[in-house]
Amino acid sequence: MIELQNIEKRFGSQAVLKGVSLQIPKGAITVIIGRSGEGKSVLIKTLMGLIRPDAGKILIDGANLCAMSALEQMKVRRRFGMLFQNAALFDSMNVEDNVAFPLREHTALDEEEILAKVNERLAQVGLKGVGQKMPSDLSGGMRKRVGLARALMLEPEIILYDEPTTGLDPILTDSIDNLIVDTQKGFNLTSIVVSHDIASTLKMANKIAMLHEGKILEEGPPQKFLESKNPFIQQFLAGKADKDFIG
Amino acid sequence: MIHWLENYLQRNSWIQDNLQRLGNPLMDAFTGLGDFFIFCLSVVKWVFIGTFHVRVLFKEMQKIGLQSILIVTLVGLFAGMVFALQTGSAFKVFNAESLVGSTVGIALSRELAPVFTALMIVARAGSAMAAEIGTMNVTEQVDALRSMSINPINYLVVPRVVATTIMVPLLVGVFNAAGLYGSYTVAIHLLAIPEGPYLARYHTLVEPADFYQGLIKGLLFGFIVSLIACYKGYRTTNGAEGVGRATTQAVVAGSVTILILNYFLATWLLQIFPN
Repeated sequence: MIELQNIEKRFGSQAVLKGVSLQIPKGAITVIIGRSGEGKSVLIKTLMGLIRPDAGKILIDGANLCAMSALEQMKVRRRFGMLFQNAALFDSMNVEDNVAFPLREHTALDEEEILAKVNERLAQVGLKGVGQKMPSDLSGGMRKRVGLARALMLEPEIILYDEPTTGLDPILTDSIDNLIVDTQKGFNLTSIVVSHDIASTLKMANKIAMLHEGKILEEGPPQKFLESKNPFIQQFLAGKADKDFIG
Repeated sequence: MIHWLENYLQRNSWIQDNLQRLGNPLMDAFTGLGDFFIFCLSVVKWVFIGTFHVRVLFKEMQKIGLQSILIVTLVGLFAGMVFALQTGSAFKVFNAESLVGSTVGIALSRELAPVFTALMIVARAGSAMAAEIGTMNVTEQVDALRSMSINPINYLVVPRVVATTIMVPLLVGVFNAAGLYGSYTVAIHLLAIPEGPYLARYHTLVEPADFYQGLIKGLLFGFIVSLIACYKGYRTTNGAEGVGRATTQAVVAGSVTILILNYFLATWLLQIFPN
């Protein structure tokens, strides 16, 4: 289980996280929702130790990530996989090398075994035969699938998705949603998804947490959100702008 | 006293404004310098404790070294040729044309070869390093490395710094060879300086210590310019504009550092290798 306790993060004069506390259950899909610019990506990167919080604790099975040295954090990060917002594929490598990268760096497998695993993962995300293509030759959805294949290579226990469906058409969005659910079931992962897509969230989430003004406004199962009396949550779920909102 | 000074500054806000205007850039400069030193210490630390990425190292050695040979040879050749031409016409006044070879040899090995080579590496490889690491930074590829438990300094910076530190002295050697050939060609075939005295003076006056000085300079220049370029790339923010700024800063800071450092190194090396 992952637990965030009063996480605070400030960039210059701007306070992004103002005391976030959240429990993330093991083996379930937790979706963190919130408006654009609320700090969801900062939260997910903080959770993995990519950004050091100014205050608070990140407990992973009881061990505080913030109190660890850089080398200890690197060891803990081996338990994580992350799919970045724009997939963050290495643009100097082809798809095959991108997906093989974690294995080449962290295992002693020979090239034949690595390539077999790469092809297996690419087939699992529906991308058989694209190994020789460069990331620039792929569509947004394909890049995200390659990113997911790469994130799964070291068989992580926890996987983080940073806005996996942003910028995709409805059909691709649905296929990525299905992929997240299938991956979670197939590998029995703890999945944490950052999103502002309500339809996707309601489809896949076991637990939803809403980040608003630097804090968790509400958390719980999807049904609790749908029945929430909080006017902001209802406004967010309905996707309605304030009358005077122009930006 | 302090209380009085505070009151005085509050009454005369223009003094405070001007002090702030002067102080802010100074603070930024010292903060930047401190950050650079922390970065350098981190690089040195990862050289010793990190996994050595041999594949990346050889790739960088090829990019920095092999792919620069042609341009370094060309610049070295013409630097030697023009230096021989100028010293030849100047020495003719004193009937001392036979000193052309040794003068060009000393100037090339001690100064021209390390400085020109390092400047070319800054322009060619330093800018590429800053742009490459900077782009990886703004497109979250550096975060992706960290998410895979790979330290980006160990993976991206250490191989580039080691490769540049190895390759610049070797390129200094290439520059020297090309420059000497260029000066020999111009002196013997164009200025018609007799070959015997030209070579004899060269052998008498140019010593291995002159080449050692150039190689030591090349080693240090390679180390420092690659650190600057990687640092600028590693600290890139603000998308494409930031990458452009980082690249320019890497080239400007690297070039200026070479020229300033060269003076102090020359002073130090002349004490170690006195004439």
